[in-house]
Amino acid sequence: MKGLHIFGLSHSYGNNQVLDNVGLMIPAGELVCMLGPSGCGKSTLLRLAGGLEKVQKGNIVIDDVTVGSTEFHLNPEHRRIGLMFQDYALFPHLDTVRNVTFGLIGMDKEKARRKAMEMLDQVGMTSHADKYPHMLSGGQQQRVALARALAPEPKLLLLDEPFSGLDTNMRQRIREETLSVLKQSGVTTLMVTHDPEEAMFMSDRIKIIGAKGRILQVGRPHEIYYHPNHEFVAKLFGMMNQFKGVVRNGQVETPLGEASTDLPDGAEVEVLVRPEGIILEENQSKTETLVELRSSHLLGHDNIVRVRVQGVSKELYVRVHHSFEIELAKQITARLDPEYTFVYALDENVSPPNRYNKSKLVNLQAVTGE
Amino acid sequence: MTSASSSIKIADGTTKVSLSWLNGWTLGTIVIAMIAILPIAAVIFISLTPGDDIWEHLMSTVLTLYISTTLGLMIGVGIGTLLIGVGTAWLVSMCRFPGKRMFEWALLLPMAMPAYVIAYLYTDILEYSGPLQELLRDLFGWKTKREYWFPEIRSLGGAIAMMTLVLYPYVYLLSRAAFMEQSVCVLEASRSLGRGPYRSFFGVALPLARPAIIIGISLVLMEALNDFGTVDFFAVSTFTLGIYDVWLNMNNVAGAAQLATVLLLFVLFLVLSERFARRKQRFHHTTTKYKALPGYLLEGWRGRFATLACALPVVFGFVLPSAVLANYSLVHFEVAMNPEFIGYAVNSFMLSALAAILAVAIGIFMAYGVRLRNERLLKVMVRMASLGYAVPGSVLAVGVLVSLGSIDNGIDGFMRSNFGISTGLLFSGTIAAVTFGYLVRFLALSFGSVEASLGKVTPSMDGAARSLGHGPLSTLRRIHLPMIQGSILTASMMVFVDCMKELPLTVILRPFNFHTLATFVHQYASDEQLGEASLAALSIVGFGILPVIVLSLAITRSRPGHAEEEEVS
Amino acid sequence: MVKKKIMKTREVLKVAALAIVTVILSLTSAFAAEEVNLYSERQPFLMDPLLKAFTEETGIKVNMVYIQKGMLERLKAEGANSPADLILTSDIGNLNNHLEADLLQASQSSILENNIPSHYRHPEGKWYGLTTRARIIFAHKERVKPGEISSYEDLAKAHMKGRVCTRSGKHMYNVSLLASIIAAKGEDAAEAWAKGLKANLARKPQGNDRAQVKAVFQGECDVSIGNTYYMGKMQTNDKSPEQKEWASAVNVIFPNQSDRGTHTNISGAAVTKSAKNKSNAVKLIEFLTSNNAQKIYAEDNFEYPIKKGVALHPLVESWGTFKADTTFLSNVAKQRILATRIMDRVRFDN
Repeated sequence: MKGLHIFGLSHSYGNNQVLDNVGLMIPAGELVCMLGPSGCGKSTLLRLAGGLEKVQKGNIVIDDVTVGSTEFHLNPEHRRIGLMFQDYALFPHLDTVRNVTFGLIGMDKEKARRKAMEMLDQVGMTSHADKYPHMLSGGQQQRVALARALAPEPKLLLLDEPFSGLDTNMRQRIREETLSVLKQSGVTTLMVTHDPEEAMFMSDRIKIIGAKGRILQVGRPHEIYYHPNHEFVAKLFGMMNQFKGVVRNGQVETPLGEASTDLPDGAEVEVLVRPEGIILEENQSKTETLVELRSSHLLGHDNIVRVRVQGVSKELYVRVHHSFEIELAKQITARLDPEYTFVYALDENVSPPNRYNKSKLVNLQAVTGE
Repeated sequence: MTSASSSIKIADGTTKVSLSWLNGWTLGTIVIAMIAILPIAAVIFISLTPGDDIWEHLMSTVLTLYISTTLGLMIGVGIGTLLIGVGTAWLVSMCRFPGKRMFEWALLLPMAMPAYVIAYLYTDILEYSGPLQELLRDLFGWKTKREYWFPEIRSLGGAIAMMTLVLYPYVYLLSRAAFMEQSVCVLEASRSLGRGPYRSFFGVALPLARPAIIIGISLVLMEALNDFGTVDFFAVSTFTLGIYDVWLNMNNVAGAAQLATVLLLFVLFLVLSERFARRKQRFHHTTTKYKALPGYLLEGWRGRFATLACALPVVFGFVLPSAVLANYSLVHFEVAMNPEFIGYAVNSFMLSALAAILAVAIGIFMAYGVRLRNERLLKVMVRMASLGYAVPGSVLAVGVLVSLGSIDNGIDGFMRSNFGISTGLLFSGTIAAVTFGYLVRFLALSFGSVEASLGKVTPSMDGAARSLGHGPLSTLRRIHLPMIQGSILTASMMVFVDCMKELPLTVILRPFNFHTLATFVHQYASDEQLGEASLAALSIVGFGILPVIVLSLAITRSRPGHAEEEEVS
Repeated sequence: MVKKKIMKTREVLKVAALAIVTVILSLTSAFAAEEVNLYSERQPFLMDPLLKAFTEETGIKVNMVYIQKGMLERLKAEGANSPADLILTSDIGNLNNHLEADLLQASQSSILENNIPSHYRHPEGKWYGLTTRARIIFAHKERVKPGEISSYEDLAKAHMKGRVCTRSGKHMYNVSLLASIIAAKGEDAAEAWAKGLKANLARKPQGNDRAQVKAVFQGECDVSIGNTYYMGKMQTNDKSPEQKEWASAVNVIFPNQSDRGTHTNISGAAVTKSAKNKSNAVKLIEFLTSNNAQKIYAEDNFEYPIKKGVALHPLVESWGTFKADTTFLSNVAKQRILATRIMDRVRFDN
């Protein structure tokens, strides 16, 4: 059973518990992304996996070998891992090649250099081999850091917010390149980020982390986006429209019509709708809700539109296709797209049993190796 | 889950190695710290031995005087060295003006000048019967002292001036290093936010350099607190002078140790409150990007002012006193040029070099030990170990005597009673004892600067190196040492120069027939015959400036991105 | 490049280590068969000629450490294993401190008893005086009228207001002088004297004894207090001829000739309790009180030989003979702590 396995990990700094009984599994060769807000303990998890922190409680296993447990700590240098930091941590006194050969211990010089050049070639940095870190741009530094981390062929690669230091233009390109390099190398990868888009783009599987490192949901990007099983997860992907209501006969009344749910009758709930989950149309039947336009901004492919439901003071955020010239519409109606509409109980204990179990099940599966 | 765990094995072989290695650093750090604490502990122990109660007498007579004089000295020297040290460091690092390249190293020169020597020289020049006042009297026809006013050199103000002149290089050195390590981006960010160079300096550069400046100032203050030669010569009643008075004139070593302990607690309080004040601040290198520093071009009167501001401390702290010394040496050459003199110089040089190498090695070991294991106990111990700098030299020497004496006699007693062999004194009165004394005294210098610059290396460097398969030692050697090279050089230079000048520990701890340049100067200086000692004093300065210049150039070169500076400017 | 640098550092380290080992070896291998080990408060430039003569005469090698402060603590810390056989001090105070700390041992020698008058040695032979000096008054030849000053007490009288210069009141020479006044006239009188003297000072106490004469020469003050030998050193200083001028501006006054006599102090020697070469140590003291050695002291350092019949330096002789305060020196030394406290009480230095 190759890959990374984490069991029952708890960790605290002083009185501040950052991880509480966390379990996690990454099958060999997969790229898993931990997505969560800052302070959720994801960096601590990464540091523990890397051996930069000692395990206080729990077990960490890489490729069938326990590298950290309550009683035992294997130092990072013996774990055969690759680590990439937010600030890249390139060694300022070494040029690019020597940064990359740094991890190639025991290899003869010529061979190490060849290997380093190979890695640099993969990331397209051969022409900068003799430069020092301070002479490189952020994107170039990132690529050198990646080459350096991969050169010793680690069993596990840990990436800590690897793209956050880059500007937007470059970020997309670097992401693509990085992904292709990672796929090519087939290394098991754990990446932490607070950027959902990044997580969606990069990973085979996303793990959403809430407070104290609790894993709220595990799934492929598609599942996470379309079936967020937790309010917290749903909200990660940006602005949501929120309505409060009470369940009656499996339905919740919203200003835009009813949303269905399997929560028990009488439960107080919150309905979350993604901006693309509100469908605006011109001049449809009277049964639908009329809204008035407040503002509209073209963002390229989409318009982001603010509308107000007549009689309701609340503004709604809606994403509409650019071809819909909303300013010209005389009368606009709005309805919910059930695919982007999620209902959660306000009181967490009222969650429907099946859904709660489902998330548990996923976790358990992760642990036992699916 | 059970099936899964059955296939899991524990990484073997490396287990013990990895755990014990980490403990080795910690254990080593604790052991070294404990050994270094010994003499300080001995001083505290002596302070607890029975003796005449001096406190009632002191409180009813001179204690307030000691305290106010000492505070005055600290404030004066503190402000003086801050202004000169930081000001010149800023000019030299950030501006371009005539002579800048030379001042980069020349500003360090006064460091090689012992305070007591400069005090003698300036007294000769400035006292009533000195050439300056004689000239003034001739010019204006004054006959007696009462007819005109002239500042009294043998005064608190004089002591402040003398110490400021030779101690400001500590502040200069550390704040210059800090300015050079600052990312130019931070300064540019500040200027882009509409702050001019002056406001950028006070708003950004200065606060960022604060830890380094504080270390510099605290080193200066400890030196000033400990000074005996200058305040004794000027009869300025500082706390330290009081310690010697109680010890030697009242023959009350316990009382002197009590005063020294109070002094120590005072220093400890200052150090801790400073640490507390910036407990939340972290200063890591903000970026790996370095560009040439801006180099504001100062032209016209500004340029001349900058040149003058940098020239004055060098002239008064080094050029003038050296010239006077050189003149004395020529006059007294026959007496001064002793054939054994070369031997003393070699002794001084070797001993100082040995102490500098050891102090820096130990400083690195301890600072890295704390970095690996950031535990409170370790931190406290390490902090205690560098307190030797806060104790007046002779008092610390007594602490070293007592601790080494008890170890020697303990071993001797043990060997006698168990094996019937007497080992005598193994350490007392040997070169090792002197070296040990130097280390205890100057560990604060090396540890402080190494710790400060290690603190600026971001922890992700450690993580990166460790994850790439390098153990703590290899990481230290390949990553940290090269990165903090500049500070290591700085630290060794400071320890070296200080050891060259060091007197009380050498005098009290040395073996028979062993002389250094400083002790050679001392025997004449103690009889107020500086002429005979001038050549030796000049050699201390000469030997001191060699490494100062060489290392200063190396420090400039060690800044990443410095290579391109030539092309840019 | 970095690697190269590290290599270099290593080479340097190796060379340094090697050199240091060599130094230590050369130092330790210098053991001679017959030797005597000396902790000295007196400067090497002063002692070297004497010790050289001793080695030439007896073949006994002398090892010396010059320690001004901390000699007592070093002896104490080293305990019975201390290598020191003998101490030399420049003042009675330190001899007395060592005696009270029980660091000295008695030795008998008829030579020493012959050479040294009894009030200049310990009754049981625990310390011996080697030379004496007097603490005297230097008065400006013109500005101080004959008879204006003839005793230490005169320095504290009203007519000397603003005319006196002296070094720090905490310096052992001045502490000893005050201690002698305590011994002669009691604590209260001594304190009143110190207070009066302070009130008469022309400037804050500073500098050394020579500097005071310089100040008299320059007109800052009219009289100063100093040790006898400084006068000789100034009068013969060819290296700094200006000092001869200073000296020629003043008269030497031996105070208190009509009552208890001038305060004198001694430099001395004592055999340590831990001495392993006791007989050599005694031999060295005997040598230092011999005619030859006493002559060197007198000629080179203008001190008064302790041995009767040894010729004074002609200059010293020219100052005339004087009556010394014969209060037993140990009794004076015992008052030093009190004297220091009085200096504190009258805030002499401020």
